[in-house]
Amino acid sequence: MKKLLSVLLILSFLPSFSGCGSIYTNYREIEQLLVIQTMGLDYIPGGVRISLASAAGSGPESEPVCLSSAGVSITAAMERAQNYSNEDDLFFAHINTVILGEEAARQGIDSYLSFICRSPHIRIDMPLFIVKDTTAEELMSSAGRNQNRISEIMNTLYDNLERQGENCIFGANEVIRNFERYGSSLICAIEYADAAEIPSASENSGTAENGAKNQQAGNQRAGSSSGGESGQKSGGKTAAINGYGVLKAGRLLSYIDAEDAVGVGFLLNRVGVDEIIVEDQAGSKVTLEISQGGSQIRPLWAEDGSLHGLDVSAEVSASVADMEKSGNLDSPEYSDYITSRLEAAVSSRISAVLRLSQKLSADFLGLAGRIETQAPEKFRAMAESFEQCLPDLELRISVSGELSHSNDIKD
Amino acid sequence: MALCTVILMAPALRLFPSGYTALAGRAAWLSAPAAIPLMLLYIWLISRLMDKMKENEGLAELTLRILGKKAGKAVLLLISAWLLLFGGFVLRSGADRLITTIFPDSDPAVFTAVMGFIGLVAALGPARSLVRIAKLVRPVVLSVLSLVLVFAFFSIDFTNLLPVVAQDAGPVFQASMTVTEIIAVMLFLSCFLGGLTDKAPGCFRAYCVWMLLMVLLLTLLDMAIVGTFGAELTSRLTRPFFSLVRNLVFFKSLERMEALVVALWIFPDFLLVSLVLFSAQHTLRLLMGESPAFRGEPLLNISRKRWLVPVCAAVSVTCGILIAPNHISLDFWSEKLIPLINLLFVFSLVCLLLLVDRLKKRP
Repeated sequence: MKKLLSVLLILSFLPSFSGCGSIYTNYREIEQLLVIQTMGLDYIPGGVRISLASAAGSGPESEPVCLSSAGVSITAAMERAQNYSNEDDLFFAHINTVILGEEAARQGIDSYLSFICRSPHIRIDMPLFIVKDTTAEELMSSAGRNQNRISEIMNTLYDNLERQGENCIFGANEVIRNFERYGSSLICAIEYADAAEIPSASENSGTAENGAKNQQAGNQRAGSSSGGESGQKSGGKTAAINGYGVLKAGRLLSYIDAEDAVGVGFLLNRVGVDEIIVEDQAGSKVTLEISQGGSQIRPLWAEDGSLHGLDVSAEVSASVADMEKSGNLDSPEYSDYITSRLEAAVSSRISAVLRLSQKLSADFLGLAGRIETQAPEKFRAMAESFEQCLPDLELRISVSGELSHSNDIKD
Repeated sequence: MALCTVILMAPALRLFPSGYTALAGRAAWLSAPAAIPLMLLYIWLISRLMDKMKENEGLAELTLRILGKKAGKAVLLLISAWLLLFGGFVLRSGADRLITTIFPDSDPAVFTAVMGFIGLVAALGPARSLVRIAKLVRPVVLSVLSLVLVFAFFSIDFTNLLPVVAQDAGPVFQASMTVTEIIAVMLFLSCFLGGLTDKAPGCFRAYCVWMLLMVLLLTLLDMAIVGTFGAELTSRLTRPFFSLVRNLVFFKSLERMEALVVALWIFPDFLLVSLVLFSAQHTLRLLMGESPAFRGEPLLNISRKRWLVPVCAAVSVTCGILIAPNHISLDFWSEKLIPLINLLFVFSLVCLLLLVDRLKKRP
């Protein structure tokens, strides 16, 4: 009797372990899932528009799928996307990129960050991007072509950044922490740009000379955000890293362009491989590839204990990657001149970023944290907050550079 | 100590470190070391108490012997009530962990009832099996924890942990009470097993070594979590450890392992609930004049007042369902009420027993 009771008791529990109904209501076969990799968020009056993109081969169809849906909240929009799409079950657990439309970032991203923190689907260190001058929906629906759409483009972008060493992609957790600690943060900006691609054979005249010209034109378009029709004809649109968005109190205030973004790398001590073009004495262009660098920031304290300035000393090491005309790098004069131009270029970029921080009164570089690390007692005894002091701080910037090598060519 | 180590994992990841990072900020990782002086005092007190235990005697028997029949029974009733309430809370918080991490929108009553039932089955058996299960589970839990810590250390930003200044001492000591509570309660519960712990009762040195290892583990855990998220975000997260696990990517190919880790943490919950139910029924049966020692009874045998075991489980499950109807009230129970009750209870009872024993021995 007791054995029978025990068996019945165990049997009564078995249905709940079967994966059907009960607490396992989210059980689905993997073939039925459309794995979403990229999520876009755009502001619409009174709500949010989400864009969801899968990668090629991550769903029942081999083509990447892009969906869009609106709702009063992200959850409502996701629910709507799930219910009203022609696709299979949407699977959100492998989202690896969140792209914010520019207007969404300008209106404020607090609610989006809150969603990322709360959602059991999304990782809290989700990399965030702001797309310049357009919406995430526009970028996600039209960037790339055929099998390579936004998810593939973003994956390639991550691979490229990783190859270049230190990168400055900010995850949601970092952005939330920066907002809480410093009141502002940076988010990596991407531009919706024309893809760099050689036109197809039918468009090409066939001569080597014309091919080279077309390639040059294509490369120029890649750096421009307004490629126009010619860009559409050649390689379509793509997404490319282009500086940073500066956010304060959760709202986008300004951008740091790609050139000055080098300065951010130095100030955050996350310097990756980057190019700087300088001119030698003869006015010829020399392309230098920055390989290493970093900065030290020392607070300058007044006698009354207030902070009156910052002393930024940076170091940079670069190699010669390209020279318009051959220069004599063996000559100390020439080498010193190039080094001085490198130092000046880095200094101006650091200065530009710091001036912007002062102008916006936004400590998006976490300078307060670095000062606190160096002089915690003095920092905590400051009468004014660092953010209040920031616009009036005196800046002293010094850069020490070196040319590490000239890449196998003895000039 | 195996049982203590495993059951400590349940409250450790519930309270660590969001519960007190709001207090101590980036210095929160020093809270566990800051608890050492008070823990040493507690271990000294509980070791002295355990020295007074006779063979196969647990804390319940000792309480009855020291305080006498009337006062002893009153205190045993109080202990039982506390244990049942604590058991209910453990069931409810375990259910909440599953809901917030894996099964959103689920009813906590389902998880509470199922875990209560599994705990009941374990509490009907001998206490020795709990220790045996703990010995089996401990290496698995510690291995997973170590793996998570190793991978998490790559994402630590040390500016989230430093600088620490003298002004942080006050908040750190305040926050250390959480650590004290966690370790003290686990040691206290182990005393109900009556001679089943590894070297205890009465082994001050063994308890100290265990406590120091746990402090080290909690410190590393804290450094990994606060170092990754920063104190500001950590204090806002309900379960930062599981958020950390959700973020981990192993060798760029394996990710989203949090469901497995959360599922693994069912074992600490199960052992803690079972131990609490076992102690509660043991205490109540002793209170009712029964010798509660296990004599090889079959599972469904309800003789010798063993019917109290399912009753205890039912009361705990009911407590678990009723105490915190929503997440906000659970936070209040988890971060304020239960730690306070636990601390007061375990310290005052040990001190009371030692004091009465001392007074009784005076001529």
